[in-house]
Amino acid sequence: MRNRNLFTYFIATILVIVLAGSISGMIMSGMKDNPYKVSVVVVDSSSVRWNSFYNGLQQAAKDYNIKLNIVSTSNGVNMDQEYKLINEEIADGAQGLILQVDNSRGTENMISEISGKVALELVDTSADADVDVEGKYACIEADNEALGRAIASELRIALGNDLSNYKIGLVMGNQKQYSMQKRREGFLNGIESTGATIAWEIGNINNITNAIRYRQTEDERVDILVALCDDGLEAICEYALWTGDDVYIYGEGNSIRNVAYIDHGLIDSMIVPNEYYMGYQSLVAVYSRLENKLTPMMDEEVPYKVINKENLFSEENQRLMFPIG
Amino acid sequence: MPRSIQVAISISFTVVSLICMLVMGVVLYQRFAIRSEQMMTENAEQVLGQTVVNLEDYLRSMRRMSDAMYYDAIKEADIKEESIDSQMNLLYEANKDNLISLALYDDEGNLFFASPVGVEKDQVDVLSQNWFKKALAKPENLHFSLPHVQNIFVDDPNFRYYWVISLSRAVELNYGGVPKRGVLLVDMNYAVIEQMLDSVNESNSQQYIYLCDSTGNIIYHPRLMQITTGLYQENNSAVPQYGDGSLIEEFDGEKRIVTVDTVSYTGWKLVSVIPMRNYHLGMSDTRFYVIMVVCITLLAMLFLNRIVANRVTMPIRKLNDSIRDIEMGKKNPDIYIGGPAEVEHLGRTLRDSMNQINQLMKDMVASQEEKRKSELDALQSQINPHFLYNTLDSIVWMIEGEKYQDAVFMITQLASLFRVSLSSGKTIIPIEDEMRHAENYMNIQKVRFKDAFTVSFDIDEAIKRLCTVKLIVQPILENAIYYGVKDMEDGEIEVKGFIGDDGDVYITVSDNGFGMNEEQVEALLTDDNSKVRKKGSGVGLINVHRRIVLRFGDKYGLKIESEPDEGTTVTIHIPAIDYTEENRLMLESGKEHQDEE
Amino acid sequence: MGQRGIMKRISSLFLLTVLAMALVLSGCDVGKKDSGNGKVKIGVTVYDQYDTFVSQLMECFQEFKEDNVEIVVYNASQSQQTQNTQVQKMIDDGCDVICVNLVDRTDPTAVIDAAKKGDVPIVFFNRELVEGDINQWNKLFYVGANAVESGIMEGQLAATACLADKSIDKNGDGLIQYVVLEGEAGHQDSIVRTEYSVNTLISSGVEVEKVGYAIANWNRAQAQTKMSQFIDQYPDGIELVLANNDDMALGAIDAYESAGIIRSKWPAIFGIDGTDVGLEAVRDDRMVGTVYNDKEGQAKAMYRLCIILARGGDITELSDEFTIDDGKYIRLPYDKVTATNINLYIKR
Repeated sequence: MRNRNLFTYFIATILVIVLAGSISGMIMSGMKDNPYKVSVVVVDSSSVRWNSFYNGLQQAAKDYNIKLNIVSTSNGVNMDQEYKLINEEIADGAQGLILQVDNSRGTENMISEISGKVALELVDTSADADVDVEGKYACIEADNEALGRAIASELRIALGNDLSNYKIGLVMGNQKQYSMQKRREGFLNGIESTGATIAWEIGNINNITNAIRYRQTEDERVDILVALCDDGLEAICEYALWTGDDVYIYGEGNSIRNVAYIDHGLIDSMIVPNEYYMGYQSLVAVYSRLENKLTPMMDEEVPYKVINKENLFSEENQRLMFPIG
Repeated sequence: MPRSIQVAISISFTVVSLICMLVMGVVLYQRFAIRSEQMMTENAEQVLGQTVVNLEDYLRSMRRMSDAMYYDAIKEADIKEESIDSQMNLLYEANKDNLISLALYDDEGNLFFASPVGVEKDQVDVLSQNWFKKALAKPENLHFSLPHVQNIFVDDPNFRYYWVISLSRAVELNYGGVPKRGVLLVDMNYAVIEQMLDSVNESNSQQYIYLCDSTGNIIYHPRLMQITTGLYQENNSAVPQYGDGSLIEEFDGEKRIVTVDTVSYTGWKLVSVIPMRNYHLGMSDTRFYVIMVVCITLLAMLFLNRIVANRVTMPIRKLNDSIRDIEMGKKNPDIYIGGPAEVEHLGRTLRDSMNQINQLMKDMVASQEEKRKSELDALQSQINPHFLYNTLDSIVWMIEGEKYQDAVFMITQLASLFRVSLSSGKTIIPIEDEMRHAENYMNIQKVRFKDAFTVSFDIDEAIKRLCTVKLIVQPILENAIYYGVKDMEDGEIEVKGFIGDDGDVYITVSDNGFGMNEEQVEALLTDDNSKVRKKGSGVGLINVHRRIVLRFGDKYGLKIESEPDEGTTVTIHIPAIDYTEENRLMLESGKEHQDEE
Repeated sequence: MGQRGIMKRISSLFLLTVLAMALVLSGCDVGKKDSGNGKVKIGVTVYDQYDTFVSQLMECFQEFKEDNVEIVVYNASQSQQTQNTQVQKMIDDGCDVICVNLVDRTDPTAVIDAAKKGDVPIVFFNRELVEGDINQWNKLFYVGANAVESGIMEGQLAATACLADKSIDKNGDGLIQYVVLEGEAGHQDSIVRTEYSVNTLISSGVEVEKVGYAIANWNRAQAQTKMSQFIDQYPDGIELVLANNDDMALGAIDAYESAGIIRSKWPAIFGIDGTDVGLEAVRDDRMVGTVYNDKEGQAKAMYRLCIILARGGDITELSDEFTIDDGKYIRLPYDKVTATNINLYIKR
């Protein structure tokens, strides 16, 4: 009698365990359909400079079944406003955050607070943060110092190593961001040995085109205009078209407008970081962190290319410069 | 200890159902999985086939347009004098959903006509562009290029760039009567192919379709941007080696089902990729479901098993309990009769057997009783006081009458008689001893009855050493005396012993006395032991008969034949059994009926 | 018997399992996302991101955006299919109201069906659908302008110019030789603008001779090419160019400029829209006149209507600010713009 009971219990127990296992398996795979929610907060969200970046983000969102929310921001959004927007997104259920800070300084508290709540990925520029032992956030950006140098390098390739006769006007972009600071540094370092003079620098103001015009006409006229960011480069080109001023134009950019300007011969050489890569990989990093809360997030470097009129239409560059669709 | 029947049934039910369910589950699942895979592959091939047809249609219509342009417009015109703008515009407008532009060049790269936009970029070098070179290199064919950004015309200063696939061909121009070579370019809107293939790739599952040319260069891929950026790998370089149809390839550590279909004329290949992992993931849901169903069914079966086993074995167990009761010695146990036919039959049979056994036991007890009684009776008769007193009286009378010889004779006979009577307690003696006993008795009686009668013994030598029950002859002789010849003058008693025709022993005692009528004969054989006569030795013929029957069986016994006034013959019929110690013991221990059946 | 106990246990386990299964299987479907917490989400799909007027209209629209409002803009790249997908996506993403700039005005069925199913109101703009379609549902609206009016105004501008300035009739034959640059074949606005423009011209007393017409798909470069072809054919024979929009008018101007013809030999060129570049051309005396399409006004109407609809209100709330036709249409009036009143419009 006892034997029989034991036996039955034994089999029944096994069956129940397997049953529970398979039910939870089904639930798990059903739950897998619930996508993660990730919000994206960048400065000037509707600027065309983000187009490739968004493409990368959206492709990754599709591949990894993530619900993406790109928060609308204006050109002048500051850290307080960013902070407010971030908290709104977190309150709205965001599990991951992709963030480009407006000001890299003094962000320690904010970053440690946010990275405690969501998976945080900084894009485009690094920022101040406490030492992050657990890898709760990471940064993906280009090697901005090298990028700055590359711009200088293009100048030298085109115009020679002795630029002592040349004057350069520099559009610096948002120097509150470390990325822009490093670019400027890299450019200045690279250009130093040529003896060229930086006549003036324009920062992150509203009407760059007008400012350039002012500088060129009222202030010191330069032969070379260099922009460290996409907006700045566009502004320089607009200035050039507007006034017909025949200047050399170099800089960093990725928007289709700037690409067209290269095609029209306006821009002599442009450094193009792979923003698609940045968008895609930033979301992948957030996703990995959300999937496995224990793996630390790692920084990543965004590659860049040097594009000019000669190689713009090469097979490989075409695909990067002219996104399909 | 052997297992209980219920456990056995339970276990075997369980095991059987387990095995059945598992086998069924596995078999069905496998079948389903295979079918599923087949269907997926077929589906992919179908979709592929359909898309190829659509693509071919599209490419064909483009080729037709190029033909129309060439044969209907260009060939006819003298392009030095005439303008073919209106035809070009017409063709463009009619096909503008599929086209970006049409253009006609001569072989030196001069643009003659273009639609819709005819403004070339400055510094554009048509001669170095692939479509141009290829067209002139092989003038007999139409050439489809790989997708590229159109780098000839200016569109809006609105920074507009088009991805196109260039369809180019060498043409023969008529330039003021002089034949000239040129190239007709039809830039197809790549977005058309993109949309066509995007809509096929719409579904969210991991399978997708891409398009490459005959050497494996990708024309369309849903993840083109990722491949370019190095975020994704594709095995397109292997495609030229694959023929049309499906196969399984392993790439990047993953197995996939790859189906290839070739687009005619261009040699482009449309490739469908289904990662097996995707299929497995989809299947895992089913797998879980199957496992779940199997488990629940098994649990249910376990449950039912119990009930069924219970119901089936209950009658048997009840029967078993009844038997246990019997073992325990319970008086009049209730035997369970019920359940299925076999069990009921068992119960009934058991009950009948029980009853039979009881009956037999009763019978045995009864016969033992009887034997005991008759032995007791015989024992009694061995020492009948009256016979003794009378004989002793006679002896005393003889001694008083100084007939010492007679007295000695009498005493000797008496002693011998008693010696046989006792026979050291044996019940089975040789016939010669029995006969001696009978002689002794008759001798005594003759003296007592003063030779009122004669007796003769005629015993066959053959039977003298055969077995018999002791004290069967003497009672008959006694009867013969007291009921036969006692009051006659010339009474005769004959005792014969012989082997009959049937091999049995027959001993007859005949007298010529008064005889009996039928009622008297019957009375002698009545079953009434209470009528122990006081005279004689007191053992009735019934007793003799019974003892013989008891020892030797129903076949044997006494037979009485009598005629009133004629005489009586009593026949003893017993089997012929050698008097050996073995046989004696056997007969004495009550192994009755041993030579029956 | 211990068996009873076991049976009970197994059967209750059974029940529990069945219950669990039922729960799992039933609770799977995730419903439509609710945009919650008071935020208004507006989805927009434009037929082509490169259309100057539409992109400027969208810029104005975005400027109206308030803090709790989210605006998402998609570009349909001239594919109705793409636009249909975008509309569905916007509905799935929880948009409260959708603005649709139809690629193919004859084919709004998929869009309307999706909106009805998701119960999301639609504001069509700039490219008008036919009455039969807009009446399919009571939450379909249109914001735009009256094409007829624009045609008439262009005609009036041209008539005024031709009657006032005799130098336009270069060959002095009393007839104005004109060329029409049309938008799209079969496009309602094209047809209407062309027809009313020319008819108004004629009925104003100007005698005309049609030299030719070309379809330039609203596109500056295409217009330039077509115009160049005309110039080749009739070097001095064109006295008036009526373009269905500013971009094409500018294309015509480009054609003359690249042909190196001096300004005085140009025909009088007119456009419609009043885009920034168009206004500049008028200011710089390259275009004689244009008809201002009130993008600010239309943007405002669209925005206000969107907010009202998102709240669940009614279009009639706008009846003070805008004229509402048939309870569904808000059409803003055009304005004639020439060198005289250019400053009112430029850099608005």
